[in-house]
Amino acid sequence: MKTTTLKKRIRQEASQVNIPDVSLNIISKLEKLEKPYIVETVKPNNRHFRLTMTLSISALLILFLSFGYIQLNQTDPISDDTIIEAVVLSSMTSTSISTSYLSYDDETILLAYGDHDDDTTIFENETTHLAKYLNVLENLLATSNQYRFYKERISAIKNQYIANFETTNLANETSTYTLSYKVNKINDGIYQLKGSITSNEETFQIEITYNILTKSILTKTYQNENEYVMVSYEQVNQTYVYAISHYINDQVEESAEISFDDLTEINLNFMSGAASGAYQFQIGMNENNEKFLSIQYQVNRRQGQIEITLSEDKKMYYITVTPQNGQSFVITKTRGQKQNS
Amino acid sequence: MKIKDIIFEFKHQNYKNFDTFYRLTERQVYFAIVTISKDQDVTKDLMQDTYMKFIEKIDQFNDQLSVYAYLTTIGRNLAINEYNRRKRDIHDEQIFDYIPSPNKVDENEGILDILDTLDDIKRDIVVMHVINDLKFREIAKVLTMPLGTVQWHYHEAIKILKEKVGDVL
Repeated sequence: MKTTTLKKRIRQEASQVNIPDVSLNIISKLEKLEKPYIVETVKPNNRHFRLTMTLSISALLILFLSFGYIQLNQTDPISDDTIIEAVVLSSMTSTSISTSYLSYDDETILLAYGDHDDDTTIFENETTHLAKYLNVLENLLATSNQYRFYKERISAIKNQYIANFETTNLANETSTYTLSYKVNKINDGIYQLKGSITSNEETFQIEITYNILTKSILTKTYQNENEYVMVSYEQVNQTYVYAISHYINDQVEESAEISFDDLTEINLNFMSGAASGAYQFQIGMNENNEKFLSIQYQVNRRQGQIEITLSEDKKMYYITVTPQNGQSFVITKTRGQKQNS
Repeated sequence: MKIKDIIFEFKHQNYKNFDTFYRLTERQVYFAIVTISKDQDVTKDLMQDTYMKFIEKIDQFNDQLSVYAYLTTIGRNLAINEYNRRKRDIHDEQIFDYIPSPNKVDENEGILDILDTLDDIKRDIVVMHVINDLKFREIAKVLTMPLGTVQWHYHEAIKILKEKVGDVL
């Protein structure tokens, strides 16, 4: 008898064995388990985010709006998909932005107005820190496929919460976030949430002030008091606007504004010293079913398109720049993503 | 739903998909235990204990490991502990009922019965590899045994089984 035949017969006979069903007994025991938390769960969600939320670089703003809602109304907003998306995406964005700002010493980013003679020079000079924003945007946009979110209330501590969530990036790598916070009422209509958020072994302190009447939110994310990121949020007509500022020693080093009013694109404007730029980001899918970032840029009189894909080993960005009426060229940049596995 | 997602839920005290998890793993847990306990009632109890222990220690479970190997380890350890406890409690004559005779083969037996004629290590390795689909390196971890030794026992077991199965089938 061949070994494969023997194995097949063993498996066949084993498959016919009637396995005793003790699952109900176990479930009954599980129900009696003491739960340290009140757990509210949303299972993996496979539907696409609305880009409205995908674009929200609000950095915890809406997230804490939702938490304020919990505190104020004693209801569970986590069943509301909009809030879940806001929680996941804004927290992810906030952390990415903060990580980027606080990790890079050099100034910006993307294309900037300057005295460059040609596009190649611009990009060679100005894309040095492109990855700073690419990490943020690829996380935001690529998470559109799937995310997981869990919120827990620590029942032993009044008004203390923990939220956990996982997101994916352009390479379908997973990042895990843990947010711990406590809700305090400052005065009528104003609440402050203080805590920390951890992802990829980086932990930031966060402070959020939420004004119910104006529906405005201000967040501060930092690792030390000398360097921090402030994000404010407001809705102007149908446009959502997020203003982000990076402070060092209480001086603004860099600021950016993210805005969007439909589900198709993110607008990013930034200023850093004398440099500034304006961009529109979208996510695309190539013929190999791989995601890429598509960016329309307009800087001074120059405009064109950038496509950003990942190298096979996911460690590099391939940045293809196509100036209007110009020749395409490719730049590679190291990809700074760190993922939980 | 993927088993990884269910475990993620377990880690957050959410057991609503336990039944799915049970259906995905019951066979591995059952065979890990029954090959040692030889008793349906004991196996049923130990299956419950295995899952409860898995849940209670879920924070210690590394997502990179095979959940099947992990459950097998728990079930097997519980079964061995129970076996040893019974061995102490039960009179020597009675315990022989739990231990199959190494040469016992008769024409009415199936292959699973013939498996019981192997020594404990060989039988466990065959069950874990062939029935429970564990990789040799996973079995080596469960048994805390070098990989080469596991493979040697497996091949020896297959040789023995081929001979014995050939005798009766």
